[in-house]
Amino acid sequence: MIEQAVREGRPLGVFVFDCHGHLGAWPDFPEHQNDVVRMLEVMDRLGIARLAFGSLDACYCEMRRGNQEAYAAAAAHPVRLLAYAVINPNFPESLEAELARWPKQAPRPLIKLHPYLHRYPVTGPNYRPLWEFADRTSAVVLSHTSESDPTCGPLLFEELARQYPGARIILGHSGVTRKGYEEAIQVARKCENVFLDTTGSQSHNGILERCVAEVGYQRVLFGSDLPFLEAAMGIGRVAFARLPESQKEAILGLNFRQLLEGA
Amino acid sequence: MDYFDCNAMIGALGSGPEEVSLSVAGLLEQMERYGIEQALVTSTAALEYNARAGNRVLAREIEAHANLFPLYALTPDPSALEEAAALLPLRPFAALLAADREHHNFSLREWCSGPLLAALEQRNIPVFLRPALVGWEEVAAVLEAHSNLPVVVTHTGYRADRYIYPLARRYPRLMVETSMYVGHRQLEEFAQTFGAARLLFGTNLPYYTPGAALAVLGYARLSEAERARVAGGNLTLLLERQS
Repeated sequence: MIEQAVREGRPLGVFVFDCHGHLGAWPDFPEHQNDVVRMLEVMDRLGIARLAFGSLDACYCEMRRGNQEAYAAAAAHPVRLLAYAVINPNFPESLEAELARWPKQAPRPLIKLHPYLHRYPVTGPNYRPLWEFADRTSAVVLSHTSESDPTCGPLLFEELARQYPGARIILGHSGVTRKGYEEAIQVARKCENVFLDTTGSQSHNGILERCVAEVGYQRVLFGSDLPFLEAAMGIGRVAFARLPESQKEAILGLNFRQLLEGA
Repeated sequence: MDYFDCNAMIGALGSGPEEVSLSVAGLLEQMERYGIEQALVTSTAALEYNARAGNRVLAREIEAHANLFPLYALTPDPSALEEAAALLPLRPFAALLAADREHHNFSLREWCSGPLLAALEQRNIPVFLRPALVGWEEVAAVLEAHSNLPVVVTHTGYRADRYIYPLARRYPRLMVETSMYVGHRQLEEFAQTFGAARLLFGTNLPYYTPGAALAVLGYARLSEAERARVAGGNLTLLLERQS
């Protein structure tokens, strides 16, 4: 039982594939034990088999440097770690080359967007080549989202999901707040290629059950924000949700694996 | 493990949403579901409507349940503390000071709250403050003026360590509630630096699922004795020590 494993503080014992992690540090609070070795320690302790992650350096500052660091970490731990290519729309001339550098660790490209930190709306023209690429290659695009945010509010993704149906869009944090989740659910209900990500610092009571009821468990994905947030928090939300064991297992890992590897 | 939640709230909010309002029966049902034996509880009425009236509602609602303890909202108004203390005279309680303008609208500085804080300090009654509402400078001012007052900061968020650490170093009676203290390995790092005796398990019910708080504490690299202290032992001691 997944819930019992959490109550006892032992690894979950089911396949867990975390769709939303990071590598690096951040400016506004001290980091604790955020290196790759310690991240892997935490993954072992919780029973997270694999983690897809993007560089924070590339989100906050240098795209090229950050992605290279992420690819090197993933190459050092290929069974456990999978890197997203973080794309910064403020450097449109570098976009194509940056996508080409992605190390092809999965059957389809993995792309991470952070329109909030890059201060550029996800619907803006500089992102267009990226969306065309994602549409063409069936790429998985994980974007940070935040309730009603002008750069990455969940509602902005409806138009993109319709325009680029080949892209598989993960709404990172599902809009963060309870209202943000409602926005994300609204979009996911309308667009089959939109997925909800459970990552976030706010553990809204009953929200996971609501996501499943509205969108279906197959399009809900577990994420931790490791090593930014405490990964156990995200595990606990899923483990204690009022959902059948099989649906928890799907959310914890099978859905994301299917998204990456499925037809 | 005996869990004693230091951060739960009952009642409805005028601004909604409906799904996050919790009756006493609902709270007890959630506590049973998650295996939480006891809770320190405030009410939406005390926080959002009126402290005195809300405290009376809270006392009435929890009176029949010996595992629920009141977190009364107090103001510097004359006799607010005495009135609250008389509501359930045999039950230990804690004080919530929602001093911000959106709530009870007063200053935590000495010229305004000095007598109330001194009375709480004298009786060793823990004070709960939300830095997100009152500001860290105000928290620091309370601790500086009342070094023997147990102060619990709640709903801190995970980005607060550059405030929490200097205060915790300087003021040994500062404690941290855990429901939003959810940075990567943040809880165990705090415990290693300042000791597990200064952490209090909180769920943030009805807003958050207790599953998150249980998992964070359950997986933290603490000894079982430390985990038990955070889960409930620290709060039990805190409430027992008041006079």
